[in-house]
Amino acid sequence: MRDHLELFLNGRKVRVSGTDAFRTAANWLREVRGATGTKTVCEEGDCGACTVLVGTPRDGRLDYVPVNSCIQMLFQLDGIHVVSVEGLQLGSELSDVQRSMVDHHGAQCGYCTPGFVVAMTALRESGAAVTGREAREALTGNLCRCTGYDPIIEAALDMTGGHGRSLDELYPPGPIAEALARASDGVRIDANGRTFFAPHTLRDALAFLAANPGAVIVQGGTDFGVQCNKRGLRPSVMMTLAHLDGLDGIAIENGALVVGGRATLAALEKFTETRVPALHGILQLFGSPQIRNAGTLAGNVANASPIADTLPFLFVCEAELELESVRGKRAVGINAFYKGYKQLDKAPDEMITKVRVPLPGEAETVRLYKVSKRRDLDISTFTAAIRMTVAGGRMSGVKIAYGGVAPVVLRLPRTEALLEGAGATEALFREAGDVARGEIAPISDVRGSKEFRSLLAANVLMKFFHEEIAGARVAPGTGAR
Amino acid sequence: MSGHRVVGKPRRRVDGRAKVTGQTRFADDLQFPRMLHCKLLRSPHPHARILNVDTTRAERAPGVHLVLTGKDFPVTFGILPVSMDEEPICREKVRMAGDPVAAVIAATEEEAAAACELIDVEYEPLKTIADPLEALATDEPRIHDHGDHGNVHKKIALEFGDVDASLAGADRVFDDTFFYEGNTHLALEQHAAVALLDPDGRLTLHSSTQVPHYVHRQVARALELPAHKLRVVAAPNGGGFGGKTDVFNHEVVVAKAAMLTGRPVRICLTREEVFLCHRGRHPVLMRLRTGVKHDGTIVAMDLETLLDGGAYGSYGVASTFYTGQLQTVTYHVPRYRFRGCRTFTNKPPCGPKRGHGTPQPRFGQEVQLDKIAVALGLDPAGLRLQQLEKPGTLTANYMRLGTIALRQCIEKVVEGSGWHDKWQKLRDGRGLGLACSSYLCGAGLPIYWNDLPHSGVQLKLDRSGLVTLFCGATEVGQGSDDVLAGIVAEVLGVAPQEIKLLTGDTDLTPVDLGSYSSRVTLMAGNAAIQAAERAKAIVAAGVSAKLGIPEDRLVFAEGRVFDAEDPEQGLSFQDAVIVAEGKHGIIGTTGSYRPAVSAAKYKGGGVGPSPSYSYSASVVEVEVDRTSGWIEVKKVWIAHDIGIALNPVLARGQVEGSVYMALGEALMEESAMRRLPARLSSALVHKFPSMLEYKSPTTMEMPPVETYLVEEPEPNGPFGAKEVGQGPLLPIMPALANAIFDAVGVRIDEIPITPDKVFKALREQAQGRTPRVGPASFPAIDWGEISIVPPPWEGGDGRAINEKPRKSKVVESGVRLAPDSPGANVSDGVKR
Ligand SMILES: Cc1cc2nc3c(=O)[nH]c(=O)nc-3n(C[C@H](O)[C@H](O)[C@H](O)COP(=O)(O)OP(=O)(O)OC[C@H]3O[C@@H](n4cnc5c(N)ncnc54)[C@H](O)[C@@H]3O)c2cc1C
Ligand code: FES
Ligand code: FES
Repeated sequence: MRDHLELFLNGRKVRVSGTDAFRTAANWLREVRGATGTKTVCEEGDCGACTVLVGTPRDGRLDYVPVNSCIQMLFQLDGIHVVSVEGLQLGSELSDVQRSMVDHHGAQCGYCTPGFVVAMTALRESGAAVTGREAREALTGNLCRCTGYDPIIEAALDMTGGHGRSLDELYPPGPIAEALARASDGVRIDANGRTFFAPHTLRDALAFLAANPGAVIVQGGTDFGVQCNKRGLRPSVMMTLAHLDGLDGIAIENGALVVGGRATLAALEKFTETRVPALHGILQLFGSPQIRNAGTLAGNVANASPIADTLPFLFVCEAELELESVRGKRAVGINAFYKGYKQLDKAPDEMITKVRVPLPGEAETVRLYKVSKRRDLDISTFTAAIRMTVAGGRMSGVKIAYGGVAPVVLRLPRTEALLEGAGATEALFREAGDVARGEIAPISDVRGSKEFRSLLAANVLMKFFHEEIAGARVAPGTGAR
Repeated sequence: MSGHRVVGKPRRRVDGRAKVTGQTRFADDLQFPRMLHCKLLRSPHPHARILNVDTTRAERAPGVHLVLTGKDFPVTFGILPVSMDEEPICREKVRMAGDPVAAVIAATEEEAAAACELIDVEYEPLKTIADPLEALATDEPRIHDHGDHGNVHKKIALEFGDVDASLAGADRVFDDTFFYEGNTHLALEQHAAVALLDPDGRLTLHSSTQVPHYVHRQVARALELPAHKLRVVAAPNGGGFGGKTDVFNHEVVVAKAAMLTGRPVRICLTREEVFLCHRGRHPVLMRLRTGVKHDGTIVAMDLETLLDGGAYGSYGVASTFYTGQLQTVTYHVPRYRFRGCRTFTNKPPCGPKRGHGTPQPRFGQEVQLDKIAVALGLDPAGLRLQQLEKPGTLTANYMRLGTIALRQCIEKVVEGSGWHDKWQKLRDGRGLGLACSSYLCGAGLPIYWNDLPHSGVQLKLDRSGLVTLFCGATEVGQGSDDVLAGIVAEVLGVAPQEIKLLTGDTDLTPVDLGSYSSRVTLMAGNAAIQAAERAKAIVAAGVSAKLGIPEDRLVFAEGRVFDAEDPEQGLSFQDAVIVAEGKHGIIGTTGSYRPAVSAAKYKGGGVGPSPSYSYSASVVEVEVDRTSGWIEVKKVWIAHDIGIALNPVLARGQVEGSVYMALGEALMEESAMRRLPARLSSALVHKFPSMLEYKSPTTMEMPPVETYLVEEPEPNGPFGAKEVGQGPLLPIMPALANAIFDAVGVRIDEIPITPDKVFKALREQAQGRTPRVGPASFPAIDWGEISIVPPPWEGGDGRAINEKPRKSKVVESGVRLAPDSPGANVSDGVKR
């Protein structure tokens, strides 16, 4: 058992012990390492100014993805090669991305710039030719208040003129991966009354949970980090799953999508692109690339927000969670998992090891909707999933779930019953809207009024009718998706 | 422009490299040996008397070096001499949730924060005031004991010609009310400051400020230091947009703490604290009545504005004037009445944000023009073109205009957008809107009364061939460093990258009033030209004597000084400087700039005059989804009358950045407050004090923008240049509102325009009611006696005919008041 963290920073091995392990990565970079190119602006994953690349060793290679260092605890980066903006130059030569950002006037005040440069470096690493749309999507996690983005996008479409080296050329992955691989046994740090544990096996993980029922599992930390920074969360015992073998698989088995308990949203996004387009659509709008690279599906489920974006889909698919503890395994249907606001049918010593999602058949229609203030990187005001089979004008297998209208995501049994077996008419959908409004209990909050949500609850059904049944597509580019 | 080698040519900005490598040293990137960290304890109450502050436990906490309270700060401060109402740490009462009541200076930030929790404060909550209507109705308790009366901070009433008579004679009178919600700058960089004592006992304050000169004055005042004992260095700002143009309590606090501990003291505000500092856009309720002839010609305009000022004066008096003073500079307005009122409320104080005070009335004016066009069956573009103000005009309220290229701007966006083929002709759900605007190129008067230059530049040329430029201007991302380097490079014939810049340092650089009101390019630019021309003359004299070439034949270009008639004959720039240094002695020159005296002599005429005005026109195209109210901006066309673009890429960046910021305000940003339930103290708190909730557009919301820079040199501008940092923001909000009307026939007379408002208006429309969302009415306000100033064409001389003789000569105008040296400003009761 190791009692310190081992990671690489810009090609150099670093050992971290004691309380520093519990700092955020951004804070550590700035305050301890003096690497002030990384900026902290929002400290909640929303602006990307703190973006760094994390290179995870895989089969002797390093896979680099951008993440928000403001909501990553340093202990999450054990065994990782971290590349910050300071690590991109070759001596005094700028990287291609940096050169292009200068040439295209991508920087005005320069405060967002290191974050953009780093995020854009990940785009360049992918090696593929980039379209304007892809560049925009890759950079949705980075805010700039000065430029209006155009010059930055132009830089992303160019990315030439600098030293031309890829990260693998700057930092040959072999030795780094090897040094980090040797380090990947369990890690436990106790400092100043706080404990961090990174188990090597699932057994160790479950035993640790059983021994420390208050332990918090930290995965992507995209909910956890925000709660620490903004709501003063300061748990004394924390565990990551990053060093476990397994649990990161994603597969389709017997018509069900099976997602391991530590699979990231980014991996799921990639997997579902051709296989489960409806879910893929929602994942594309989920947070930002940085959030998806870190965040997990299990985290989204366990965090239990009534507006979690994946939940309505999981509800209408009647997904099943596999919960494991030293006492054994059990399965819980997602429709029965939430007992109240942030209250789960989960014992403190249990963790989610799998999410099984029976997939709808070919003939079924499934539509997912998300309404938010801003299209991207925004918490939803209202979410919905509608699933049914329409044959000969009749509806069957109707399943409807709404989020953002009650303390938990809701199925709408009365609305479902009204539509089930009936002929699909506009009048019936209008009536269904009224029934739906009676089944929900929305509140007014900062994201939207009670009335607005209530209207959306009805309108989304009309929208479904018009787009999926009547076939008359309303104007494209609409907000409810 | 012909003949220029640097000016007008697109080029890389001088500071690009430092920014892309993360090497730019912002205020919070500065680290000093033995540095301590400061945290402020902030009040949870929006309005309360402070009965007791007990710091004993905090003083004993680990790592704590010093605890400060209001007792340590007997002197108030404030950006405007008329409202010195801010305290570094509150003494007797707090006026908003977030006001500081104590400061802890400790070895680490965490220890400082932990010790703040150990300070016991006893409050006696007072009645709170949530909005201007409550302020008007509540005389007691007063939030401040200065201001016009009760909780009214400032009332303005000005009339230029008999407006009522003109309205009575108009063919139609349009009477509209509008509301513009407050919003904030959201510069990415949080405010940060570090103060330290020099070995000789003088104090240096590094701060992320746009106005080092004003910070210098106010910190010296608040700490009762002789000004020459204090040095303020403006770090490059990670965005400002007006949010760093005020002097902040934390700056005074760390300065004092450094003096008391003898060690460097740092503070960096959290994002939430930045929301509390604010000084952002004022929420403004407006009523605008405009009389027109049948052909749409304006005969008179009557504007009333009601501003929610928040808890402090800040720039508020100026902001209030700005809600009225620039309504006359775009279209010909023969008669004009403006009445404005700013109230205090128990909320974060408002101040200047990009466009300072003018976007709100501009929104009203341009939306109303659209309504007029639709009602009279006129083309909105034509309606504007037919009554553009003429270049050089002295307006009804005595603003002296310079060049006006708005006609070309309108023509550009009309043509570019295909306006005539699209407006009122697109399918349901799709629409176009047009609007125009104008903005200052620097305020004509400084914010404190003086006859001194507004900007100075000093140049040093030495035998190394290096040109060093010293100027108080502050780089906030707008590219002021690049503008200065470009101008001097043009005159001296060297490359801009070769000029060394030292800026924003009150010890080392000559004064510049600051990076606000779009003044730097014009004012520091003119000063730079003067300094560079003087240096050029010295070098030319040296070269002429050495080579026997007449001075007027010498050309400064490409790093050489040579004979225009025989370019082979000449010297490298370095050799030229060496020769000149030998003849002249050490070479140093200065340049300074001060705007011409304004024709507006009436009280209040100090706000609005400018050496020049920029103009913008925009067309916005939108798609509106009737099922959800969702708005998607498809494209923006914007043309800006810039005089001359000194660096076109930089100028384009400013235009598009303005469009971006405007779309954020128009669609999603708002500094809305809410009242906590009684069991949680009834405090007025920010609804969105975080970036997770306060949304601004990402790469995906930013539509394509077609930018046109319209060039017509302005004689008052350096090489003919005008401002570009703020003006292009102004037409976007009204153009968007007008486009939504064109798309689905609903009027949203309110900013921001969110899907739920559009949705609501669409519902009204479906039910046959007026398809509008906006304020229902404007309250009756007792405006008191109005100042009557006949317009120039009615025999006026710029003075009010009913103004009482002034008590003292210094009371010139709303903002040009008494000198703010300690002790001089007792009459308004704020100096305690
Ligand atoms: C800027 C930003 C944007 C966001 N955008 C969206 C969005 O668009 N849609 C959306 O739905 N959410 C969004 N989120 C929320 C968050 O990203 C998701 O909920 C994410 O899925 C959480 O995963 P994680 O791995 O980061 O969870 P963590 O933060 O690591 O953990 C979250 C919670 O789940 C628990 N947990 C994690 N894994 C397990 C497990 N295997 N077993 C039991 N408990 C577990 C943790 O103990 C913790 O309580 C956003 C967050 C941020 C900061
Ligand atoms: S600081 Fe904003 S995402 Fe990290
Ligand atoms: S350049 Fe200033 S925030 Fe992007």
